[in-house]
Amino acid sequence: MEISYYPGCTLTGSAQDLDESFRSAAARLDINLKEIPDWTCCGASSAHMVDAYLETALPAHDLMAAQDIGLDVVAPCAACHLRLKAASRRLLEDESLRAEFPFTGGIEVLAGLELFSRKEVLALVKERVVKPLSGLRVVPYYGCLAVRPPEIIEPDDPENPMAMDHLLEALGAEVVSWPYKTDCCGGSLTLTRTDLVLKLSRKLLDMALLVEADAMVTFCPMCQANLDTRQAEISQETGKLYELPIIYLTELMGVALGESGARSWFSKHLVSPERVLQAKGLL
Amino acid sequence: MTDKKIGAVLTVGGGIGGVQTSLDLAESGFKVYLVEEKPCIGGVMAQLDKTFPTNDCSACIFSPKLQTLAQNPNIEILAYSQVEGIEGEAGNFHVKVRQKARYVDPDKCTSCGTCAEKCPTRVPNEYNFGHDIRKAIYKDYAQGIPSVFTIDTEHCRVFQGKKCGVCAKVCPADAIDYEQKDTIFDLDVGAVILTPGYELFDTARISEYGHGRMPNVVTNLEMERILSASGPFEGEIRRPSDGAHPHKIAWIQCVGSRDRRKGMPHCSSVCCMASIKEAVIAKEHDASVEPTIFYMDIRAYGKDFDKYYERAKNQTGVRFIRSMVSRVVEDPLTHNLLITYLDEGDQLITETFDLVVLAVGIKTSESTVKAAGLLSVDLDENNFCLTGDFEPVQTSRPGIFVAGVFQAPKDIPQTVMEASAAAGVATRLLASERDTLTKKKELPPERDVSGEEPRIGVFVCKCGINIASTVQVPEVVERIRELPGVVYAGESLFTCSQDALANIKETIETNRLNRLIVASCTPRTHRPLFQETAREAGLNKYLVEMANIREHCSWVHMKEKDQATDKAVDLIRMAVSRVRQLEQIEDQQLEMVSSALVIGGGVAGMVAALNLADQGFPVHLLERTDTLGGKARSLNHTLKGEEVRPFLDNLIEKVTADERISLHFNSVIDSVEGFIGNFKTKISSDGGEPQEIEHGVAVVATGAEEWKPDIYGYGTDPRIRTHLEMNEAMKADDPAVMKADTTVFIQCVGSRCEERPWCSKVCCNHTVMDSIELKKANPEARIFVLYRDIRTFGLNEPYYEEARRLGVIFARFEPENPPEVTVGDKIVVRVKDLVLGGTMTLEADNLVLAAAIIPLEDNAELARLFKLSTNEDGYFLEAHMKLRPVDFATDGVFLAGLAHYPKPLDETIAQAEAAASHAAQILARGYVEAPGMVSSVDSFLCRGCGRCVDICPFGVPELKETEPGVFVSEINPALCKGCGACAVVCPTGAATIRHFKDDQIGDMIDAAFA
Repeated sequence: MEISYYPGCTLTGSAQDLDESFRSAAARLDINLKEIPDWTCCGASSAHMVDAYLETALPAHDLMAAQDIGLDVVAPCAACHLRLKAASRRLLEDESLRAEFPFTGGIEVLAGLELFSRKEVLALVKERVVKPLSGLRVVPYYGCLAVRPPEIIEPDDPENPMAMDHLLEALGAEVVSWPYKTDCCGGSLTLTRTDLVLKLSRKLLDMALLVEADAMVTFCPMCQANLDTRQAEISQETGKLYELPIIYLTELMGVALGESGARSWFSKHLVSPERVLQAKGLL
Repeated sequence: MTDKKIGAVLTVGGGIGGVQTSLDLAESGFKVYLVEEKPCIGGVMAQLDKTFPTNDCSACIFSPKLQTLAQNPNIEILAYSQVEGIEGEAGNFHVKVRQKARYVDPDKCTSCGTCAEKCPTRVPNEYNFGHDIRKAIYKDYAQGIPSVFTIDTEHCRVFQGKKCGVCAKVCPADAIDYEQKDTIFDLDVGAVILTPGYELFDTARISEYGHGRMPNVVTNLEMERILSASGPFEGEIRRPSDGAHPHKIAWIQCVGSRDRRKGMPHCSSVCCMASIKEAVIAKEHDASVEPTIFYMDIRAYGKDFDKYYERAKNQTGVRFIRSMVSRVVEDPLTHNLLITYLDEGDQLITETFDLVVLAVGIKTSESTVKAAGLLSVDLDENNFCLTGDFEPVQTSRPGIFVAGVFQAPKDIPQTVMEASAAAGVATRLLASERDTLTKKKELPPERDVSGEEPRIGVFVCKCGINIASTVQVPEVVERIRELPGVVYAGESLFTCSQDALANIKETIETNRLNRLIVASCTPRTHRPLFQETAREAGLNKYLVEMANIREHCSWVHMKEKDQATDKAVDLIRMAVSRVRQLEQIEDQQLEMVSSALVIGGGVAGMVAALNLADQGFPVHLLERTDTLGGKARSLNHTLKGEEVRPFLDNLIEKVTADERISLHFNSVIDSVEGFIGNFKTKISSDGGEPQEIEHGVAVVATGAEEWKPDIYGYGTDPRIRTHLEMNEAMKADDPAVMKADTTVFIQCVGSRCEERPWCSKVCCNHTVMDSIELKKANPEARIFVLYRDIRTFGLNEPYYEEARRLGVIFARFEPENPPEVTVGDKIVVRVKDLVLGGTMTLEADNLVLAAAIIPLEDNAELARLFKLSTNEDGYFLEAHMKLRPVDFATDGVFLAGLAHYPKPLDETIAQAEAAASHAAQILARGYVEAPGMVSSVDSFLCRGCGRCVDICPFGVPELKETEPGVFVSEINPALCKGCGACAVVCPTGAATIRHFKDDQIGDMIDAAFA
């Protein structure tokens, strides 16, 4: 399978581990990623808040490039995916914008989870697992942007999504049912309202610990960064030690599919998943 | 319309709506085919535990109707069936119905249940929403009709290609038939009535509440089963996750209702009351339950609903929280449920509950949508059946009618009303074909057994194993054989099965039995069957007695088998003692006058009069004023936008032109004498000489009034108007009203207060209608509606939404802090703002008061004349709030319109058609049947003391002077209800109740203690 790849800024910076593990998982599942040439920032987290034109124009530039390639485009970062998908909608509705960006709607914008949840891909995942994640208790954490706004994202179920659950099951992990799959971690307030972020993140971590999860699995780079980096602060504030690995789904795919370089991704985590994975005999 | 009409009707859907409409049609002389897609009829009502607002047990009030239906020779039940096609036109349709194979022969199956007992395949029981288990051969509920088991081929091992066949092996009746095929019925009918009911919105699409993945989140209907004694937990309140008794239970309202994003913009109408009822009943079952209801508006708009709500809140201890809950969070360890809500003080509170009940919205089922397409019946945008306000039971296709929730979400009484209305309208269409396709049973002449020594036959039933596994039936038979008068004693597997009934008849004839005892189950359900059997063998039905050795013995003494056998013998001995004393009694047939008196010339009265006239019965229509039309004269249009005036003019014209309708204007009733079939009513018209009208039935359609407020400055300024006055101004297109800058509406003016504790039902809808019209006439206008709860029930809800979209501002107030009105240059309305706090001051150009609808003062007088009841508010009281909404307890008198309770025009019309339908049933029969079990007075023993006159609740006994100074009580058997009060109070024993005479009861008691 061939597909256009839009890494976005985050995956070239703080979420290099997501970029690398995504590319690794794709390669092991016979998915040929074609990085969009000359891609630019989608404007996520700021442009759409302040400028209605830029909101569409920035992702439109990338969509036009993807359209030239003629393949559906996958955007692993949840925020990028939302911006690209929203823009693809807007372009089809707004003629004046389309005069500038003649987008035809011939290509789809996919989230990473969507790509790996495709029936044939999921079947391949099951087939190619070499190291099933047996005994690893995980809670799937989708975060806000994987399901909201539902009119644009069109998730399987905005309140109780299951796509990641199914993938984790395919990898052999023990998926633990928990109630906060889509509750906000506070990621977008990380600099402005740290107090709220600590509260929201702690709620998620506490629930994960209550159900005795070994790790929390996510696909969103903002959630991962936020939950991973805030644990030290929360520990300090509460006097209780928080050390829950926050792992990208694609990283676990790497482990289960036999990627030998997986360890290098984990070095970028503040709470390293290595100890947990070693304890389960997975590394 | 066709010339050749057919005197048969097809009803589609076997819930309470279909059952009622079928019974009405059969009573009216039409052949009925009742099609039901499930294996048994009964619908949702059969699943309910209790019903609001009377807390009646649903099954107990519904079962007798189901039994009556099953025994009616003119109703053919086609269960497990679907309509596959229709041709023809009103009056003459040809319908194809497919009945699915049950793989059980209904003629052989005795419903003994041995098959299900032995069936090895256990399946989640969908009738109880999977909270218990049934087998692959099953019957949904014990009283299900038809009383036949059905194989679920999806789970049955035989149909899955596996080795089994156990049911066929164990069936004692040889009823299992794995080769059975679907049956196609080709039916000719004159009309079709659709009563398919509803289904719940799919909760998978409301996953924020977790139904389906959180075990302790259940729907309203699941809660009904949980509360039900016949439900999965036998009436004990348990929660699914661990079977524990929940204490904190939350109900969440409007789950998938009033929610356009979910494609459910309508209000589901019944959930508020259903939830309140469940909360009250839960608390009744277990006093430790703490019920909480989360809601947006409490819509207690029906008769006595608000009182029920207030009692629940103030006496039962149900906690009401006005907050729309956005989601339910499950504690993954305990399966408890966390709800976060905004309290009245704007604080976010998170509370833990043990069980959460979702009031899930109701919608038309997929199969009904499909059937509607097949029948070419139009649906509205939300898939409810399209009807007009003035023809509420008429679908878009002539000859096809609708009743119940398929027409719009509604409760049981309204469904029953519409079901009778649909029957009435169909009868109107097919009146010429009455009694053409129905059959009367041919019965042999009744044997006179008086003077004969008792020759008693006793049939002891094993009821499969229901009785036989506890009571030693052969021993019982041996022990009763020698009792005095018993000439036959025998046993059977199922006494109610076809072959057993045939055996009873034969035994009566060969042994010349003159008394019959069946020792089996409850007479409540089965007595009519055995009475009918005895009658078919020429025996008077009052010579049949039952001994209930199942409910009263085997079921309650499973662990005391020896004593159970003794007790069964005792019960039969008592029955023998009684049956020896029984006498044959004739039910009476009294002649009747076949005309009707309709009281009230408003819409209700005119619709009822026209219906009766169209069915060929002369009608006297009495109107107290000099014009027809009543309150509808001051209505402009309905909420849907249909103009009232043309409809009303047309109706008046028809009524006036109809020669069968005699109009009496400016008329009052002076006196009423007589009873059903033979009323003599004196009326005076235009103050002239009284005139006597003879009539067989009467319809009370006297209407109600708008309250003239004494609050909110009413009467001090012409710019303060009631709804009806506002109508006048809007009709006149008064620019001071239509172009006003600011208009304020105040709701519940004189309603829902201590003096008038009822909701006037129409006012919210009326205000929404007016505010939309004002906003459309002047989009710049500022319109405020001050309300307590907005009650735009059912399909009215989208208009509330439209009003808000147009910019009408709805602000809630608490009854403790009502708005204050000051009249000056502007009308200043001050009200406490519950959203932002503080006081809101509105300077209005016009103030509209949604004044209460109040009953007429002279209802009490009319009630006295016709011996009717009114409720404590002064509205007329129907025979049964749930199932007899147009009948009075007094036979032969019927009720329609606002005299019953405030209601919109479409409901008034439906109720009038229904009342006419019931009235016509009596007129069409041509005679009045009075049961024989009534009081009689032995004039020799009577000393004329008059105590019976004082005690009789129905005013039946009369003291007649037989010779100067000698008074004797006389009972008119047609009026007597057989309650027995007179027999109890009579000091000389002169008054007795036939069939319950002293020796008939006394001997039984003696036998019990012998």
